[in-house]
Amino acid sequence: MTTELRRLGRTVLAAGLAIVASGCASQATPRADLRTDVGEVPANMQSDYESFASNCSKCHGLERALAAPVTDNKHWDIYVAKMMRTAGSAIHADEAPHILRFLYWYTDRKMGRETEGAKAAPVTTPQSSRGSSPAHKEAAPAGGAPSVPADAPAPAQPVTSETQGEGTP
Amino acid sequence: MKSLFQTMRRQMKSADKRWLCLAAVLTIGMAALLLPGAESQDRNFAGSVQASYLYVHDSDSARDRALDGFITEMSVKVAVDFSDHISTNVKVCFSCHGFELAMAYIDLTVADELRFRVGRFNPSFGEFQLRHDPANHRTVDKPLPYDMGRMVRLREWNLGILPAPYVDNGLEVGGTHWFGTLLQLDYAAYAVGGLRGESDGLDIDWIQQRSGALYYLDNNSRPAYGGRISATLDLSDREMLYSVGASAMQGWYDPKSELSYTIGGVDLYGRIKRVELRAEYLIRRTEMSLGADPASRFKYGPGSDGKYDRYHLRDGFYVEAMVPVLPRLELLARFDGLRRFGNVPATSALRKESAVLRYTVGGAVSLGYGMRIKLAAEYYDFSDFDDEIAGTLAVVSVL
Repeated sequence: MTTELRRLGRTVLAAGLAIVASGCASQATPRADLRTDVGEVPANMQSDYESFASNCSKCHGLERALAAPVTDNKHWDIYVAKMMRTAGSAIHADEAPHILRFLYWYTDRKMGRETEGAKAAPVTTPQSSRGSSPAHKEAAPAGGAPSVPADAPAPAQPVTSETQGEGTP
Repeated sequence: MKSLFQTMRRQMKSADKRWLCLAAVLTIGMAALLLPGAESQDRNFAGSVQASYLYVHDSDSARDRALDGFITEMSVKVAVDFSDHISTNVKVCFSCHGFELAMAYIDLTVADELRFRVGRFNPSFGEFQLRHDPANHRTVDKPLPYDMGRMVRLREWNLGILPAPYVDNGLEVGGTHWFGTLLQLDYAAYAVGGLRGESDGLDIDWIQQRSGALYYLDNNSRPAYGGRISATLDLSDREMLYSVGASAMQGWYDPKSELSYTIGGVDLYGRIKRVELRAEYLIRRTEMSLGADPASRFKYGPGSDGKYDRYHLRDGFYVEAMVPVLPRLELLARFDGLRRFGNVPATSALRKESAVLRYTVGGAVSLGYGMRIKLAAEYYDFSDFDDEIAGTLAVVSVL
């Protein structure tokens, strides 16, 4: 019996190694396959979605953010700022605008505010201890006209954050 | 005379550290006064529910060696941000121990590089504890070094090295700093109540740790201390991300603060294309009370010097890989283990050197909108008991 179990254990281990090897060999974009609850992501949001999926899935499932009862985009400013401060989050100030732009778009679509989110994507991101302003306070002009095209590269302005919280909800 | 001197010296050291804690609390208070006042309140609600079943193969009932059966876990959390500098988090959990206060703390953030946390929280230790909510894990059970009661032979092994989630009262100072756009450095140091045990204890008593019968207070008025430092290298352009960290903690677990414990750990995280790899190693050195009659207390006799060793050592590790294979399916493989060195109680089924290795394969299927099914099969290889096969199945939902 013990011999059989050991053989089974080795088989299980071999299967695990095969899984790892197949994943490393794949050319697919990291974590982007987990597009389960998002639906179709517009072409100009793809890189933003991938930033979101890549960074947020390190600590928790993407559903944690997607199912959150968020209706106001300013909440995402606060929350992404918290995540930036979470140990090992790897969310740099340059990357936060990408994540926020996706979350704005997703929330607006969920709330029936079509396209507004993408247009109002953060030009700057959460308030910095070094002086920048929160995205929601530095809102896009009335009507949601973007100060940068929705598919423009992420803002170059560095971002840090002030709000603080624990790592995962 | 020497003994008296040592006692006085220890008490003075203890008093110094307690003054240090008091000074830190005052510093936090001063910092709070200097920070801008509250501007508004932004509230966020989060939580999760997990219903799971542990099955142990080849037995009608494994209750003598495992908590086989249904287990439901729940958590609800409210986070309130009063300003960019002040926030509060409260989290309540329900599981095997009943309702527990898993978090109740206030954060005061002076800058990215300086944050004070005071209250009841998860002290920074290891990578696994960063993802403390069950909904954040792809398996029902935790890696053996962090096992909280789902492992087979949990009583014989007295759980893992630092069962997670580890929650304690105290204060923590930490921060984060980026060097360029590639390297993130995180650091934290804390003073907390520490782990608990009996006056004549041989190991940590994890039930005391979670029991309100002894009040949610430090049992010996002597804080435990610890810290963590980690570095994260973000190579997103190459589809890679790496983190490495080190943690340590020291305290006294008995009411008289005479029995010490020291825990250390190193951790590694790597993401290469689609694969996420995690590995940790933990080690704990625990002092035991020899009692008036060690010969009847312990299974093994004294060493060649005629003295009983006052310490036992246990270490453990896990290596884990996770990969998404389909849009809704992730697969996971884990290899973990525990070892224990040192004398054991006379009635213990363990030996002077004991080990357990475990092999796990599992998967998680997303059902959409926060629902997920987790399934895993485990093979235990014990040095002192028959090998075992176990399985876990769970459905989990985020709130």
